Amino acid sequence: MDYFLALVVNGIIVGSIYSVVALGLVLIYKATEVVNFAQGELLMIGAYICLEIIVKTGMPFIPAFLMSMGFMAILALIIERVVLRKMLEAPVMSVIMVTVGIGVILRAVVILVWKAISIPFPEIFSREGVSLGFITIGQVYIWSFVLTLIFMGLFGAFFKYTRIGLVMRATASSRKAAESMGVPLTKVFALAWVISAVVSCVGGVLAGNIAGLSPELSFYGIKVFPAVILGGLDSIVGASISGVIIGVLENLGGGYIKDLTGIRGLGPVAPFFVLVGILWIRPTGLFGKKEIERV
Amino acid sequence: MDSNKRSNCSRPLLGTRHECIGAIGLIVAVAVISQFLDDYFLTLLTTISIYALAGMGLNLLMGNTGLISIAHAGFMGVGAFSSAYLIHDVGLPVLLSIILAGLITSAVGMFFGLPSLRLKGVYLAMASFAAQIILYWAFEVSRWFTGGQDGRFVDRPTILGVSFFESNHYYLFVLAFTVIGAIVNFNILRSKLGRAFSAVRDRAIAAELMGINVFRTKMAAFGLSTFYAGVAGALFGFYLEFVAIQAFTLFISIQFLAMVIIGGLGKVSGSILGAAFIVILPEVMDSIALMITPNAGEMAPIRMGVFGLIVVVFLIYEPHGLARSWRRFVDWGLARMGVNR
Repeated sequence: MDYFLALVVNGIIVGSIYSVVALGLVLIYKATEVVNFAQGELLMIGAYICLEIIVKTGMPFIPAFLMSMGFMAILALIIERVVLRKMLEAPVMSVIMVTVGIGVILRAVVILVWKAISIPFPEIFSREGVSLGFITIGQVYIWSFVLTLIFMGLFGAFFKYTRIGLVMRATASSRKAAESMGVPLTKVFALAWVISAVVSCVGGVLAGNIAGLSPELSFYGIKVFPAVILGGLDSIVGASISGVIIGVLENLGGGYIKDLTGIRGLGPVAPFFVLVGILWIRPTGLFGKKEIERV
Repeated sequence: MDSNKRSNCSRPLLGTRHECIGAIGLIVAVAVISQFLDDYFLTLLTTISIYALAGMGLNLLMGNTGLISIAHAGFMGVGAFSSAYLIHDVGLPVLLSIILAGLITSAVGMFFGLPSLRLKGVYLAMASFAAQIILYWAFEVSRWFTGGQDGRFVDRPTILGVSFFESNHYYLFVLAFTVIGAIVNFNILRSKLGRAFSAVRDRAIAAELMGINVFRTKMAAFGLSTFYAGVAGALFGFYLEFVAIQAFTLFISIQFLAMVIIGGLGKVSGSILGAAFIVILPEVMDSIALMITPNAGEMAPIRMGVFGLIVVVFLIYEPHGLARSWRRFVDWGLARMGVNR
């Protein structure tokens, strides 16, 4: 039972990072109908930038974190303006491919600058364990979970209560209607990219805090696909919840199935079996809108 | 132009007489020249031919039918391991194994293509993405089949007593497959099935109204496309004499996608040009990078970065790929020479 709980708690915590990244992905999709295959690389860059600022300038964590968010915002603006803006009329396949290309470039930059090695993140949250009664978990995990919740709350409030948030929701619900009401679409698209990049920066820094930095961090961008499909590609609530579900599933899959069957490495793959299953049974996911174009 | 079209229809196998003579001339020239090349250039040439074959498959799927697969390297792996298994563990003859490997890959491809029935665009991309990850994991786990992380050895083929062990002889073997693949590809596009592919790509509902079975057409596209990938995988395995799972990663799948996009979607010439581009580019870049930095460790990321950059630039500025650039270049040249087409 303890084993089970440990797996679940660990899954929830890792999953909460998936949720943050999924949030970024869904945001861009809702606003611009682009699935960003470079999300993992954005996350990775964000984490490396934060590390670089802390190490090079010796700045405390919070301002460094904010600065790296600012950097990510600028990077996203550039990507949107230089590349995606030109792809507005392009077919889905080309747009997917262009984000893949961006991902490859960012990855190459990271390997060029920081080399393909694992770098430990400066210890910001203590790794010392805290007992929760039934299990003991590192403080860094708890902090990451709490921060995730805070950021999710902030973004939720932003969409719900601010005027810009309203405009973005309007664009997502009907691009044409929003445009005819005078919404500047290009600005909304740019903003969606900025928010998404900032969100993935948060995810990257948290993930880096837990596991250290390496180019492997970009796999978060891959792992997050099952989560967004499970939640529904256009549902922010869905993304948040299913990120956690996928995290738990991954841990249970890695833990139990290995013990039961001796098949190694199923944990990271289990979510993709789920992904295929969902696409079979219910492609809109748990919370997605029903109007997927069926063929 | 008109007479061109007519002869295309009346002689689907060969196209116009000029095209036909040109193509045969080119193939013979390549075959003859290949016999005098050193190992370095033979490697490039062989890789290009194999990639072109796989690219044709992917292009049938993406360019002609409008579907997407981010799992083509995985499918190629299925073909490579199947043929190795069939030859060495089951003991089947080489040619039969290659065909069977193609068919097995086809079955796997059609299975993962099933969601395309209901899905399109990004959702289909996700499904094939999952296929790539699941296939790679399956390669890792099933040691009896793939040798796991260690990979497995394969021998170059001997057919009817003729050995293709030497690299230059083996190239002829590959070339034969690529040429057959190209001819089949050309003719499928002009057949009822090929027209059905385009109809499904352009508007599935209209296609259905015209009496095309959309589901069956899509499955045929997946089956055919992955058959090409499987055969290409088998040839790749023979060539390296060693099949390793690392040759079939997500990144290679992405390279294949880039290959057809850069080459030109929906065009056989696009698949071939794209393959040549993707194989030659890193070599050119390496020689340039060597001049800039002697540090070999920096070469891999530079190579990767330029690759990404080229993909992005092509998508923005030349979305129809090298095939279109080539056409434009030829037209320009002909116009300069005063030839009226």
